[in-house]
Amino acid sequence: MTLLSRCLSLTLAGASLMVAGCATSQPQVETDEGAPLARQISQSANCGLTAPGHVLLKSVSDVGRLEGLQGRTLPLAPLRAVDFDREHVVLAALGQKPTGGYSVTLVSSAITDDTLELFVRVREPEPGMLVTQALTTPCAAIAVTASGWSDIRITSGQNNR
Amino acid sequence: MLRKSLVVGLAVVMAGCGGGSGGGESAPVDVALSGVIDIEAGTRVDVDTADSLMLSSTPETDPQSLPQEFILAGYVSGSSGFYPGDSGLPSTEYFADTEDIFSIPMVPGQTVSLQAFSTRAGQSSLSMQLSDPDDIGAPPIDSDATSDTVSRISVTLPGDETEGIYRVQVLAGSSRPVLYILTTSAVSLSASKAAFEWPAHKFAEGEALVTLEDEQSFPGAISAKMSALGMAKARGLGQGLWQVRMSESQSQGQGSGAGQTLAWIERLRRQASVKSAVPNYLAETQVTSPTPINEPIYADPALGQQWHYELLNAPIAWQLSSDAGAGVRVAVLDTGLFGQPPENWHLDLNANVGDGYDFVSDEYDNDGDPGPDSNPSDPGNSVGSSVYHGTHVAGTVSAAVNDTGGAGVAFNSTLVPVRVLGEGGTGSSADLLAALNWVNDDGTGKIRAQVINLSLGGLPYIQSLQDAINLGTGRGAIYVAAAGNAASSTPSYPAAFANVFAVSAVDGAGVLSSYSNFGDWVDLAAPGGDASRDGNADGRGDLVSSTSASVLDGDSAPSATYGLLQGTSMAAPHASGVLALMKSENGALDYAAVNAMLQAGKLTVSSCDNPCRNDELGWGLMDAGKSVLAASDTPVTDLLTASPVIASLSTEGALSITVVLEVYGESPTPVSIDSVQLESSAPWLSVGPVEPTGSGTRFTLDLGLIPEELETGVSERTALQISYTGNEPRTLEIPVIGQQPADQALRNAGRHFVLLVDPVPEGDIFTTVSQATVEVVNGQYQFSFRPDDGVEPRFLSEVPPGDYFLVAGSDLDNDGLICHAGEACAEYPVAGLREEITITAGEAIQGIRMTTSYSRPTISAQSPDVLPRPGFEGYRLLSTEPGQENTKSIR
Repeated sequence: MTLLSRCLSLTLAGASLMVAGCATSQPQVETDEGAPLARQISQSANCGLTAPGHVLLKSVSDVGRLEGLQGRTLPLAPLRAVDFDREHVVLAALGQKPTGGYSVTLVSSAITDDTLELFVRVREPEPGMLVTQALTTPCAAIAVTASGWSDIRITSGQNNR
Repeated sequence: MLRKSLVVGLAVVMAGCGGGSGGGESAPVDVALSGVIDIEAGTRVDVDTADSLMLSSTPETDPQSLPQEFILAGYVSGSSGFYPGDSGLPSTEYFADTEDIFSIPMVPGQTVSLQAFSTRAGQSSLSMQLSDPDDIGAPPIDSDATSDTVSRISVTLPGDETEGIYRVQVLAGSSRPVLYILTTSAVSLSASKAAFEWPAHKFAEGEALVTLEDEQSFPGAISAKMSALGMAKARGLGQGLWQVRMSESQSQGQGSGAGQTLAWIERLRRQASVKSAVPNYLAETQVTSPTPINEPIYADPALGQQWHYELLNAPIAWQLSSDAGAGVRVAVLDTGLFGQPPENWHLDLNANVGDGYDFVSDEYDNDGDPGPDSNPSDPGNSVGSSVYHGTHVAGTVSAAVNDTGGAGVAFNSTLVPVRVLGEGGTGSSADLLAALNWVNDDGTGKIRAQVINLSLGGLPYIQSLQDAINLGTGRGAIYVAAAGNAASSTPSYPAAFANVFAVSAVDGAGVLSSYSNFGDWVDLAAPGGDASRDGNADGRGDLVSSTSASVLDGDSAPSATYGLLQGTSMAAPHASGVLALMKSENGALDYAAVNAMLQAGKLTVSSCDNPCRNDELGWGLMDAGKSVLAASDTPVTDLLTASPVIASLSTEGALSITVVLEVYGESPTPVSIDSVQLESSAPWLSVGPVEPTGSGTRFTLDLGLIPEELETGVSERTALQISYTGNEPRTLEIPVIGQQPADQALRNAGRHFVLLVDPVPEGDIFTTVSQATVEVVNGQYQFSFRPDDGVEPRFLSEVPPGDYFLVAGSDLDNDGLICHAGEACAEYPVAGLREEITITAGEAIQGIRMTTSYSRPTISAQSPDVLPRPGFEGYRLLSTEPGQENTKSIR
């Protein structure tokens, strides 16, 4: 929460997102060529990543190493299609969840002080919502620009219905 | 240097996820992180490495036996000494071990390769020799040695030598320690795909069972009509079914009698006046008619997992059941089914799907036709890939026996797909209520399904849902629901409603799954799987295989596939399938009758004296065999069963096995064994006599493997056909598998140190924060870290909240580092690709799984573009001093 309050505020009421900069330099929100810094290429309820966190894929062969993950249904073809000279792929994983109804979605991205910040919306079932009772391992696959940053930070907010 | 920092928000989410999942309690707080490390196939470790010698042992002098295919890491050293204490690394000790000796089965032309790796002690060398152990004193058959420039050496058995067990010695070449990897060449270390082939079922040549269209409109004209179709009428079997013979005019073609018969039947099916035509399967195969045991997934462990059916005792139920649930309608209230109505569902479900409905309202609907409609198709998620949860659940109930994929518990029952869950597997109680009401009334006041499966949850108590369930119960419906996955005793609805069987989940050992709910409202347990455990010791986490759909590489749209899931969602349909089997035996069974049987111990196996219950498994783990027997009006008392159901023989497992044949049930009728035959030639199998002779209710039969008749890495399969007579002649079929090797339980990569390291390196060094030490058990390692409680003594395995890389490996040279060349290494989720794991206070992360191996992704020829790790020395251990493995005073 420290980093959250230091650099940005994330307001989720009414599904609106407000990012207020407070850092020492102006956030960069697109590449020098005018392309988005990050774009979501896929998401899955069963990525096979049972721990919460993130994985950085820097080459096609990195993608290939996901093949053996137990219980993975995340399709790898869209990940392999990424031009790894220009973009890398970040898998933002929620870890193992007890039911269906969870998802991760990219909201926006910015580079501030050499740090690539990915703002994601995490949806989880509200109390009392009817959900499937099979375990899931949700994640989002996000293509990010390969240059212009040295740190990566993922910040999320819950956005229930 | 790339620095990956905190995933702040994800940690927040972790802390807040409990309430929405159908339960309210958090996971156990004595575990911060736990999981299992699997070992790559064929992996072995030298028995006297520096790590094992440190634990008070002298070097091994007897040969260590290895299989024909292996990869082994070893250690030799000409003398004892200490590694230099530099760069912040401790001055740990290494031990003398001048030679390692291995016994290896070899064939002429086979090569054993070795790659040597110097240690922190400095450049070193070794040599290797191949010799005949029966020819003591003779010069080596082959030898090789490393040098300053050559680290990869090998020995080869010449082509004029005989096949047999040979001795390979690895000898230290200097005073300093050296690590090595020894492996057989020209063989793949990944086990060959099993090549199981089952013959088609036997049928009477020249015969068919035929039903004609509009028979009633042609009274007296049946014979003429059949004659015109090339059929010689044999006899009527009732209800429009005729057993007919192929007329001579039809049998003048080429090919075998069986082939001609099938061609004739195909011609019959193309006739407009023929409603159906099927082969007349021979009586003995009708007794052992095709069951899920014959299906590809069941028959080939490489394709899926079917441990859950063995645990459920389903194979016996399939023998006992007269029709595998035929005529019973099972409503699956779920996410719908993959495919499209009316007959374009998943290939393995298509034959059994009846009319259904879609009750998903606008808010949750994503099928392009918002709101309720008559199409219960599961469109998948609108974004990203989908689970196809309802397809998986339905397959467990009623996937067909059709030589494709797997099969369901009640594989002849009819599915009533009712879609109540939409985007992401979520829905509302209002939609569920509408669906329950629809199932309750087909428009004439009758129920549309006799069994209703509810693999969903998360609701509070809602009176209107209870009322709907009560109404259906009064009309004979039986409701089954998943107990929920919150590892909680808080009642989860609909499972906890009255008149609903609440089903908890168990792993492959029949133990409550780590995630499963429990409590006094749980009625019974069934297999739901647990990926974090290998309860049945098959080398894999326990997951449930069933029908699914996924986007295959190169495709843009999903295809029908098979998938692995875990959850009480998977347990409930096992119970629903068994109830369908029971209802087909006795259609009068209702909730009250079944519940009485359950509480009398007639439907379950229980860990305590029957009948009894506990909060974890309720009245016990469902036993499909007992359940079908209990439901039967006229129970079969002379049914012979086999234990094990499938006899599996292996050069690295059981070389022989005793099959127990027992007449099933509480009041068995004695039977006599008439004959024992093999379905197909199997020179690799020896079959002993059935004992005792004469009439009885229990027999034994010894089976043995003849390894020299088996091809390495190829699984062979046949079946024992045991003909016996009790009240009537019957045949029992026992699949028999012979294979080599099945080495999971024998895999060993040496003692492993599991580390949580700071993902931000200091220079080139990753700082180790927490450490757990684990030994191999049944071919895998189980590890656990505990939360940092902030009080002394502070254990190495205590971990404070934060972000970490999870890594593990062996320290065979005892230099205080793991994961360098010559040692085993695992990284979560896969080696070479580390994920930052976020550990949060009060939240346990369980079920982590990764694989350890001597190989590194950087040396794979298949991935030349993998980035190297320049300057990476390995991960540092916190303590390797004897007696201090578990605690530390300073963090």
